[in-house]
Amino acid sequence: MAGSALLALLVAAAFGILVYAVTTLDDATKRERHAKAVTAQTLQLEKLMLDLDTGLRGFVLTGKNDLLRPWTSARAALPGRLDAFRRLASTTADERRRAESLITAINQYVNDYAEPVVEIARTTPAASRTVIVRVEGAEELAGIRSRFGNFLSTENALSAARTSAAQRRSDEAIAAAVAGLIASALLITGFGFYLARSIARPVREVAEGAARLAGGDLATRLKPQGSGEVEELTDAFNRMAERLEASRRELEAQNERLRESEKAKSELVSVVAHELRTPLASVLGFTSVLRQREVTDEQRREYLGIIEAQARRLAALVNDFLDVQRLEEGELSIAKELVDVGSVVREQAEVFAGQSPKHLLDVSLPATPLAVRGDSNRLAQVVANLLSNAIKYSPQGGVVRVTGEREDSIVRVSIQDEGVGIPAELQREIFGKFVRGQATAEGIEGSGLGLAISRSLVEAHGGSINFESTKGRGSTFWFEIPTASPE
Amino acid sequence: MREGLLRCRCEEGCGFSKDEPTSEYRRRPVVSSGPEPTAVKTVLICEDDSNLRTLVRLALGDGYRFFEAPDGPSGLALAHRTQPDLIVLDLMLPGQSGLEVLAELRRADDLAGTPVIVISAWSHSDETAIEAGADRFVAKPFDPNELRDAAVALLEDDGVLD
Repeated sequence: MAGSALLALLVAAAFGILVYAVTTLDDATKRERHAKAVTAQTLQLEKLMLDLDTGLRGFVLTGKNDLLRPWTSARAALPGRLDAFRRLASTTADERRRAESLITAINQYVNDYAEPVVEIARTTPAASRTVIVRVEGAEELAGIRSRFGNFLSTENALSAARTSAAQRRSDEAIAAAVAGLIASALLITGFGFYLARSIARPVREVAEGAARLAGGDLATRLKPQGSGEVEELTDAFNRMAERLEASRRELEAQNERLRESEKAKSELVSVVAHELRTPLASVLGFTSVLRQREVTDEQRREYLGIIEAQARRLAALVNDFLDVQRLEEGELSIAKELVDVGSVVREQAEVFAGQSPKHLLDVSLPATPLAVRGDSNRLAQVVANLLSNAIKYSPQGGVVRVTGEREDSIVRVSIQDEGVGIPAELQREIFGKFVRGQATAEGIEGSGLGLAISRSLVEAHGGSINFESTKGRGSTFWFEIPTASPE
Repeated sequence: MREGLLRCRCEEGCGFSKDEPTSEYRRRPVVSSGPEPTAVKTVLICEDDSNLRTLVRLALGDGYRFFEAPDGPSGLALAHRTQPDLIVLDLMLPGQSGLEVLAELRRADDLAGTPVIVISAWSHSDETAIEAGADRFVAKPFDPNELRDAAVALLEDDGVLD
């Protein structure tokens, strides 16, 4: 924008110089016309002087009155002529001075010589015809004529000098103006190129970018260029493209999450079907055997026992699946009652102590309640699961240490066994669904969902669950839940 | 531990206890119950669920000698050692999947031709199992008679039985 202001200034200056040149030229013409008028006036004055002299000379020589007529008429016209000359030749002080000196000389000639000579010639013609008078008159006139010559030549020289100076100034001004206009034209052309570069090209690039964007290439970005509105346009375009790309990424990520969740769901369905078919195979298979084959009473009891155990396993599996499903969809409601984790642990330890004669349950709890806010049934489910694992995975028996304690603002329950431990390769995924390792092969019952459910339940209480285990040396599982804030 | 899991149940009169280790078992003479003094067919059951191993034995019925393995590696080792006439193989096995066991069986010179029945609760694995070299696929839960028929057909095809 500064460029266009500069350009306007340059054009204005060029036109200013042109106007000055025309004015100067006009001035020179006026001066020339004036000089010509002064010359003409001077020549007329000189002619008048010659008339005066001719009339004087004729009258003095002949004494005839009619020969004095040129003198008389010239003498009458002289004052007006002198006035006009004085007015005209007054442009400069020097001119005025030279004109005044000429006028003084003329007046001197007329008053001091011509008038007395005419007077003398009228009264005593002989006296006026002396050599002295004639010579004096001739000398006076010659002086005046020489003054005329001088005046005219000075006037002409001055006029010529002024005219040529004016002409020179005018020429220079015209040259400057033409140069200015050429520069302006060049600048205008340059400005056009600049506009094309700084506006037309970026706009075209934005249009091309928009076309690419519309074609689906959301990675399109424009090189930041130009200034002012063009820069804003480029910036706005890039922001728009970024937003579009970000929202497409977001959509793709969402899609990916949906696909993964769908995949996980269908995998779960498939795994659930597999897990249900295994006990079902025992139930149906042994039922067929009982119906179709001859078996002993002992065999019948054994097979019925298997059928019952596997049917119970099926029922437990179905419950676990439902828990997992509800936990994953956030539909499992967790009560927020005041619960003493200590008494939950004590109750569960009593239940499990009666089930396994090979294990010694060593329960250690503080005298005061371990108060948390939560669901006593669900917390009992977690403790039961950890206790059941501790017993199941230490088939040789041993001590199971159950500890409840309060530390700062958390309640921690840990359950330690002396069992088989968890192989290192299984530790990372131990809280996953259907992770059982060698358990099935080693005849340890379970759905492979207990720890997954326990973790979800503990997390639903705002807590965390973790473990330490060495293969062959046993495992310690613990969970921590924030203490109930006093009300 | 592996030896302890290795059990066989024999037909009446074979004179072996059901928990006797195979290594000993193989060194002893075999008494046939058929009209001709041919060897009793041996079946290896590779399945991690003990109830189902029992069920497979019941389904096939008396008349076979059984070896059992609860996981892939011990199943393969037992197969090489006992050279069974038929292998009943579960797919979902700890340690090594049934498909991996099957692939190794088919690569092994001594077992490449042994008929294999794959039993699995993955009901859609039938094609995969057949492609991997299984002779039959029986989905869990299975009808004991169906499994028995499949076993009999394979052993007859093999020309071993009768």
